[in-house]
Amino acid sequence: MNDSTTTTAGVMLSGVAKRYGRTVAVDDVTLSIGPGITGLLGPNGAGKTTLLRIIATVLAPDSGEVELLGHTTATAQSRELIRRRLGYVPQEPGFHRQFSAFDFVDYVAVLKLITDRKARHDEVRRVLDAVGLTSVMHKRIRQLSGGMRRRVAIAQALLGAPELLVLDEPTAGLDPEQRLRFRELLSNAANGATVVLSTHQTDDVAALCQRVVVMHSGVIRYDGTPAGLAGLAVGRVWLADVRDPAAQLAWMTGHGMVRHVGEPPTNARLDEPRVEDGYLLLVGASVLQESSWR
Amino acid sequence: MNLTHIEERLLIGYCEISLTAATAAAIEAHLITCASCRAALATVAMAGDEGLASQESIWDGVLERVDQPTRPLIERLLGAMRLRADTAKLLATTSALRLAWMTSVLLVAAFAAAAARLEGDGPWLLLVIAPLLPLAGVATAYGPAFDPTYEIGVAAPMSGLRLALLRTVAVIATTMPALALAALVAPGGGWSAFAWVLPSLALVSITLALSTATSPERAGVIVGVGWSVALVVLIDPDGTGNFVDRSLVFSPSGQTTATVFGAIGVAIVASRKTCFDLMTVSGGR
Repeated sequence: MNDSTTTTAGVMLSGVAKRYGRTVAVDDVTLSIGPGITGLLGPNGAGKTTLLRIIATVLAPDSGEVELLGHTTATAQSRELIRRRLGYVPQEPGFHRQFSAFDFVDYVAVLKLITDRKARHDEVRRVLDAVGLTSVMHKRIRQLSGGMRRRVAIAQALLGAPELLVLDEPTAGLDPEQRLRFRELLSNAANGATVVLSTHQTDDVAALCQRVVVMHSGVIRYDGTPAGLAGLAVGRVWLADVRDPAAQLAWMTGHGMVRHVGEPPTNARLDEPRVEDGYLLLVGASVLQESSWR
Repeated sequence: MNLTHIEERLLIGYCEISLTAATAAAIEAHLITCASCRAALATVAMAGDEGLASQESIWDGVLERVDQPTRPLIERLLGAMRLRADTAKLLATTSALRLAWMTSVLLVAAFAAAAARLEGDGPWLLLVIAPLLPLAGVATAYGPAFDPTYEIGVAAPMSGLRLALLRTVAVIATTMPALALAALVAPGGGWSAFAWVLPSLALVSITLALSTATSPERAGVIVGVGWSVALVVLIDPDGTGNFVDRSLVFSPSGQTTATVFGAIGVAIVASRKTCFDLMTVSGGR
């Protein structure tokens, strides 16, 4: 299914595949992503990180073509051109912990070839201010909280106002207030840029993303708007007083009602579907079957 | 200076750089938080002689001075050696330039030299160990296992080969002088006490070449094991004298072979240099 409304594509993937030994991480993915925020949803092991690494140019696909910001990733020269306009936050960003936040972002700015010292320091201050870390920028990273470190990682990705921003689970480890601030920050940073982020948070997708791509087992299971993903669950979300023993996906809500996704239990009434309901319908059952939760 | 704002005479003195460092620092600390005094400073600066800089450049200068971070020790040392600031920053993240590592190298070199003095059997321990030190330094100088920012670095436009070579040169420049000093003080060695130099450079070169196909630390382990095997296997069965005299590795032909291996390593690195721009080890999916 595909109801996306992509215009100019910052990311164009055609038949992209990547294997690790006998495991297929990404399987024949064809996708084009334009300006705006696109969310990548999927369970652990779905292939999100591999796909984002390919989009961030750090990993070469085994097969298929990747074109980013109008350049192929096949040659070193074109990769450098892309990387000059790219910001990337890996899934587990590491830090030289003896550095201060300023030092660390300054170090990445050197890697990004911002050679003029004053211009570089100005840019470092700008991005640290953008993530609200001005007051602690000279503290050593090992003294910062997990949420602050995550913001340092986001700050380095904003260096040079990149046209392509790739963020692998950027909201992991952020508290609710920080997540709200991150949404505000990202929606400002995404002005005209192509932003691709992966997340486990369906509410982040609903709040931030114009488009959502659901991956499972290396393939794309859904590509469209968050509203369209929620729409998959229309007529399939139910509230009942008790859990239906036959239900595959059901949980007690804060209101004391049991929310069911899928087949209607007895004595139930329909409820408004959300993004997570559509997502669960797509991948939830198989994930639950694979896990030991049930 | 009153309790809330800076007096004009002090602002004039600040612009003329005629105040003491302590007074200037106090003024800068106040300027950071006081927009009113910044505006007053700009007015004073503009009203002064034509040589005074604009408001913006003055404030930029203040920011640069006040916001100047305390750089890590190694970065300051490299800066003191007149290295460019950005190069010093790139090198400051090299594991092998940390104090703990350099102390270890000095201790090992001192131990090898002391062993040669005590045993009186030539500097064989130094020759055996010495090539492993720069090798270990290079194997841990970059790559995902020892550089926490490796993935961010790969996604940056700076050439991965440039970064790897820069750190390799830094490792060689810090490790080999310590080993050379040990060779000088080791008794009975003469020039043969420096027979580790070419093998060291060859091992480093081969490690870099192998790291185009696998992670640097794995390349280092492979090369280190290869060196150990060569030391054990390549012994002249008809030779006489101590270990160094009988070892083919330290013979003239061994030195030539090391040079050839080193050159092959360099050629491989040159032909596969784009491999440094991509991840060599997979992580999560």
